[in-house]
Amino acid sequence: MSPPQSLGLDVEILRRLSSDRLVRVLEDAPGAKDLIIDGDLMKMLDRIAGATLLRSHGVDKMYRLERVPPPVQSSQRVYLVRPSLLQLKILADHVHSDHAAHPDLHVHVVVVPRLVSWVTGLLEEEGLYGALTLHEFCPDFIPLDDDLLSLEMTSFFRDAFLEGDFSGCVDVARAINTLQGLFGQIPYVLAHGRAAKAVMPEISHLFIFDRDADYVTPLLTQLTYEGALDDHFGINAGVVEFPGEVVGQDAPRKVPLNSKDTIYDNIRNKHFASVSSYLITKAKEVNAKKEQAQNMTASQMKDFVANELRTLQSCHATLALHLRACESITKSVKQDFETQLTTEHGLVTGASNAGQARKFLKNCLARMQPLTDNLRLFCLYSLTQDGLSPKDYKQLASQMLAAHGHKHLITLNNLRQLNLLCATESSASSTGVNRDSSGTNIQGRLAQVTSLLPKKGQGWRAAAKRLRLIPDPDKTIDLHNPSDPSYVFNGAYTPVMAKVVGEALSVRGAFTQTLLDSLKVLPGTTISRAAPPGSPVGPHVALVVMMGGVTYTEVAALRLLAVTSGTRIIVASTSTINGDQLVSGVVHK
Amino acid sequence: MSRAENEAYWGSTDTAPSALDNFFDEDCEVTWTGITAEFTRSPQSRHSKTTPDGNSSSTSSIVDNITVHSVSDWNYVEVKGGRSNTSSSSSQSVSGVGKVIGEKLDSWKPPSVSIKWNSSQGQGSGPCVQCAAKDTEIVQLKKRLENSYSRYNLTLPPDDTVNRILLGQPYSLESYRSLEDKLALLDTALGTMDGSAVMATILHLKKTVKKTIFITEMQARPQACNLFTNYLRKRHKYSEAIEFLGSLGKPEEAAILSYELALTGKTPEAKMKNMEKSLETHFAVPSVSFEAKMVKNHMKLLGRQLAIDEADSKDQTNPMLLKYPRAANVVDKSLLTTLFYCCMYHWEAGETHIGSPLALRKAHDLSDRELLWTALKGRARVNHWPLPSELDSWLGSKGLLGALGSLSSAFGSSGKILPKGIKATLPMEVVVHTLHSSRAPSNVLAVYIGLVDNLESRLKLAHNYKCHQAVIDVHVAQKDRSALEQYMKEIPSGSPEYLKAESALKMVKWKN
Repeated sequence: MSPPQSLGLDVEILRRLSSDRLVRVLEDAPGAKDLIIDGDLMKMLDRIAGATLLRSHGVDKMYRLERVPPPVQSSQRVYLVRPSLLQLKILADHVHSDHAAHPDLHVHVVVVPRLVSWVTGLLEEEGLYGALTLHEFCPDFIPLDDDLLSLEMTSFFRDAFLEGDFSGCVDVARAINTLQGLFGQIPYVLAHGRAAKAVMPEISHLFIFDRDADYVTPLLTQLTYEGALDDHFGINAGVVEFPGEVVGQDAPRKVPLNSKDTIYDNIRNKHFASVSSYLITKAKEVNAKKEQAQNMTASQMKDFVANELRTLQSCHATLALHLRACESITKSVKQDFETQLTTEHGLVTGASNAGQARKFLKNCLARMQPLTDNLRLFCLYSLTQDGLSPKDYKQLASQMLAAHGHKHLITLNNLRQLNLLCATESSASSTGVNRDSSGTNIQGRLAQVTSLLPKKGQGWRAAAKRLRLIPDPDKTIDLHNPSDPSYVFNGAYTPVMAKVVGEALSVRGAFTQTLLDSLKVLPGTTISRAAPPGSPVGPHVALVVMMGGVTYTEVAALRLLAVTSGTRIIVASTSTINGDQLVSGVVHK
Repeated sequence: MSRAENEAYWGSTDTAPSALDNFFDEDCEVTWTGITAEFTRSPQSRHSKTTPDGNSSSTSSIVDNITVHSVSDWNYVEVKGGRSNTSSSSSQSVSGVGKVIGEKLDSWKPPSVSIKWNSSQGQGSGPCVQCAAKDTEIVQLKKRLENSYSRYNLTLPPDDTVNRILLGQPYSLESYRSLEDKLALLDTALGTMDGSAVMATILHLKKTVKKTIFITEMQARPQACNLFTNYLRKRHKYSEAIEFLGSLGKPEEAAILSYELALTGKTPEAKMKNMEKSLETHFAVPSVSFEAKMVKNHMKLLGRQLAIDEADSKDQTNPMLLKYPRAANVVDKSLLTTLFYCCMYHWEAGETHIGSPLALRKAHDLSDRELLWTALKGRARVNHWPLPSELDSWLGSKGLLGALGSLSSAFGSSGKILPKGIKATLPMEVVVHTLHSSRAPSNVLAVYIGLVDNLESRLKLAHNYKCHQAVIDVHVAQKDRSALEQYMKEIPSGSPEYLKAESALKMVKWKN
């Protein structure tokens, strides 16, 4: 299942660009210096530059930014921070406490990605403006793979969708601009959503979606191999940390996951159910080859050892690693995994009744299953029911608080702000009006008019129908040799991204009006732009940007789409995300 | 495996594998204490470098070079190839852009006459050479002025200023003095959606106009309100944020925020006091009646937890407390965790006891489902597996049948009498699984498996958990002699289950 990689464009350039820019910033503070790094930036920095590179540009010691300031040993100190008020306050405290003992210490602050107004404001309030040297370091997209780019802005979802700070969009726009600068302008653009709109003015081609266009996908349990790895072990910036039992050692080990590993490349997008059989078949092939070696002549053997043995051995090790990972996942899935899946998919397709799902959820709550699992199911239940009745909401909410602590009243409020949860107004009043509206009174008409307006948090089901996200239940979906993107959810649901991109790519040229109309059911507005007819069109390479985090499930669905549509699809996002990260991003700590 | 092999496998030198074992991860404790180095070089580690000192490689991760500076553990990962601490004084030679511009500004003197940015251009008529030269000079000066900008009375169009903020260039908002200008600026910033520009303009507006105007204008711009509230929150200016939300007419959000503020109290007592105050001042609105109830519950629970903790920390007589020393304080735990604790330590206690699970249930209106699940798990922790009948009578005998309210009424609105108790409330298969994983004895398992109605699934469960008793029971119920005889081969002869099966063979009327 390898996408048409032949189509141009070497994304590794992006890594070099970022790394060069980082070096330039470091050289702005010439000479030896200590580096103090915001924990949030660690993974990203490691993908851009290694410690050796930093050392060759004068970095002496490196510390992680914590409340207690590290000892002063160099005459210069460089802080690398996100523009977060909390982190900056810590930084300011450091500077104050160090100043007494080391008045000559020169402090540089590098804000990643951008110096924003509240950073300077805070420093001014702290009396530090002018005393510190300020810098910016704006990284480009970091290639996690040939077809997956990430800005590693893990807090973007919370910042933008919950707290209304869309300043990250400027950086996404900048990054997309760089892409265009490198690879030329792209003639067709389709952007949908609030955040997506903010990116638009700076760019001129591609697909851009907001995370809130499709909350259902991250809430569902991931069923592709890569998705399952992410759900169980967590993939951070393209690297998974396997526990000791999987790597066959005492200590956990970090393993990069990308297409350079051909075995992994073959299984990453497979449905989890077909991974282990594939691995076993492969392992048998490897063993067979090794056995052949037993009957070899001396010269054959020499040749074999020189060429093939190494490959075979590493193959063997990789196969064993993934088999153990599969085993570990299978073992750790909940005993009622089947019920969980049936419930989730039943909710989405509407096949099973909501009462059963509610009962299942109540049991999960009473059993104190992990908070994020319970919140995910609660949100999925609310979304797919187009909002909950006040009675339902209150009952489930109070059980949620009983199981996980009352402070999560704030969490529930956050989820309601995001429309992930929604309690509808009591239906009593509206039915009252309806009864009257049989006549021609104004009240009745008014009610009719208002009912046409989209209600907050409602209408997921209508949207799913309009966009045809739920495949025909009579059509069988082949999970092992998939041809339809909905295989990622056992044929119960197609991620919005995959659906819209698929529709758009199926027509060569401008986006059809039908497609643009159907997007109206999603929150936010649409912007589309097409090249004037007759203008030259390059190779089919699509850039799909997700604002607020993309799941590996969506990446898998788009990879399948790349094959079926003969298009190279590059997915870019503010970060990769899974359901637990989505939900825990807004949990009250 | 050698480095060359790594390369052959991963295909390229500068890809991640060399840093494989040492990516940073703030969650990984090993990494931060410097022990990483050991396992990095362990020979089994497939991707580890085999260079003897491990630092001559071209790429190395930042993480194993992080110096740990936690107060308790001064465990330095010493810098390899150590650079001296004496740093050159070259740092003075270069200063940042900001400083350069700052200096420029300082040296620049404002003109005595205010120059408007859009003053008419090139009106000078007539082909006068001198005039033309002057005109050019004016244009140039104007450009320079615009570029260096003034802190005083040179007003740039809002677009330009917002762009400057967006691009991180120096800007000044002082000159936007008319309300109209300020709002134009704010709206332009909102149009770009850039949080940085929006915040700067909001703060300018707030600083320069009176509160009523600020509130009115903010009310019309919900996106700005959201950003501003969160700004205040992150600056820990809670009371200002609460007041702001209140004056915007968002009592619900103000209430939630006041609860959040209450939770920042350092001690449980302080939290309770804060919550009480917050309830009085912010939770009186009917639209948050549910939330108010939850906050009240939280207070009530905290109060009870404090009382339980007080009593238990002094208690020298409770055998359970002696046998299973408390792992943690129960204060600030969730309601169900508290119930779990009570089931562990105060199972037998009468309802008047502060730690009685039944008293807790009464006070907090717990459903049967919550009660039963927690009781099962809590008792299992102290190696007690109550039988269903025991649980049912525990549930019912205390005169609480009437209080089963909320849960059963959800199903029983039609008025039909519903079966109560564990069998009707919990999914039995999951219960059996939970019991099994808490190492419940086989005879208890058999009783619970017996509660599954469907014989087929009962048999499956019994086989799955190797519960002989339950298998025998099913075969007896099915009157299937041959299956029973077949199964007896798997039971060690002489064991109680075997004897039971034998006696069953004689007693029961079989169909085969």
